[in-house]
Amino acid sequence: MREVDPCDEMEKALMRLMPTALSKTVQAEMDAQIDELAGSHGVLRHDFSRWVKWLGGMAAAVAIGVFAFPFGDQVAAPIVGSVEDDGMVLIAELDRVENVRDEGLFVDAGGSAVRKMSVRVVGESRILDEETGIEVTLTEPRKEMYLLPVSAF
Amino acid sequence: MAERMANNLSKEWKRWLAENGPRLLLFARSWGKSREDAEDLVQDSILKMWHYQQEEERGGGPPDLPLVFSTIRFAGLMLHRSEKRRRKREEAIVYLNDFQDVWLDPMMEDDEDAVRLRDAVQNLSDKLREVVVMKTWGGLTFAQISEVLAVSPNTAASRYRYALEQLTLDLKRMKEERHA
Repeated sequence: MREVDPCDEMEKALMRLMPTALSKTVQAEMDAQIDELAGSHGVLRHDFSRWVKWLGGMAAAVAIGVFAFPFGDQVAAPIVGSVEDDGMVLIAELDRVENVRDEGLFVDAGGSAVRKMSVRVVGESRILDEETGIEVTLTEPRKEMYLLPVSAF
Repeated sequence: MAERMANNLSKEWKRWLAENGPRLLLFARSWGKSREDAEDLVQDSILKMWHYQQEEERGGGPPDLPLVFSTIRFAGLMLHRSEKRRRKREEAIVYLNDFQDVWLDPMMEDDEDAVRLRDAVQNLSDKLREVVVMKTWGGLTFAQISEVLAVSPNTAASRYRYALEQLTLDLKRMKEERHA
């Protein structure tokens, strides 16, 4: 006759023990939290198309802005206009310099010595959807290059 | 459409929680000094898991159990650490862990053998008990347990085996004491 492994017997005995359930209060709290989270998840998914539409609009505005005002600051004006029309409000814009690197000395086309500086900038825009109260931050990393004339060695 | 998706997701998570809540609570009980602490740990971990699962590539549904065990364990370690710091400040207080509140279905309280076995399980060292809990009530494989505990599967298996041997001896001793 095969000998019974005491560990097998113990496993069977352990299986008879049943852990108790979460308390009714906690279970109810968590169910409510799940409902709430699932609800906001739904809203987020639902609004995603709205954001996509808005971002598309913003990209078009940037393109128009660049085309109409190719020199610098005026580009921002059409963006803010399109934002407000769609219930999206631009609350803040910020450029953060993340890194500055000296790329060394170069001679430009005119034969003058210049120092080339590479700057990594991250542009951040905080946008609020007034209808849902959802706020998003758009980040746009970019690299800028500066040529500084060198007058003395 | 979005509302129906949210409803389905909510139902799926609630079903999962109803099924797995007790085993998670049992595991969390090793880390909290009261049933309430353990329930807080479970609740916090489930919320963390929710946000984790909502990332696009994970599909939003309920998580795998080993991952939740890991999260509870990590949260428990953090709680334990902050408790330890707090206890150092209040040295006069002695905490007693009374596991009876989560270890056994109340329906079985009249079963003497079951109660003795529960006592024996709670007397195991933390290292051995967590393996027994994950294997027996969590239904995890040794490979999954080894991931949760960051040990090899062989170590997990030998801890389990050793725990069962120890439980067998403890029960035998308890029975002998009773008949003496």
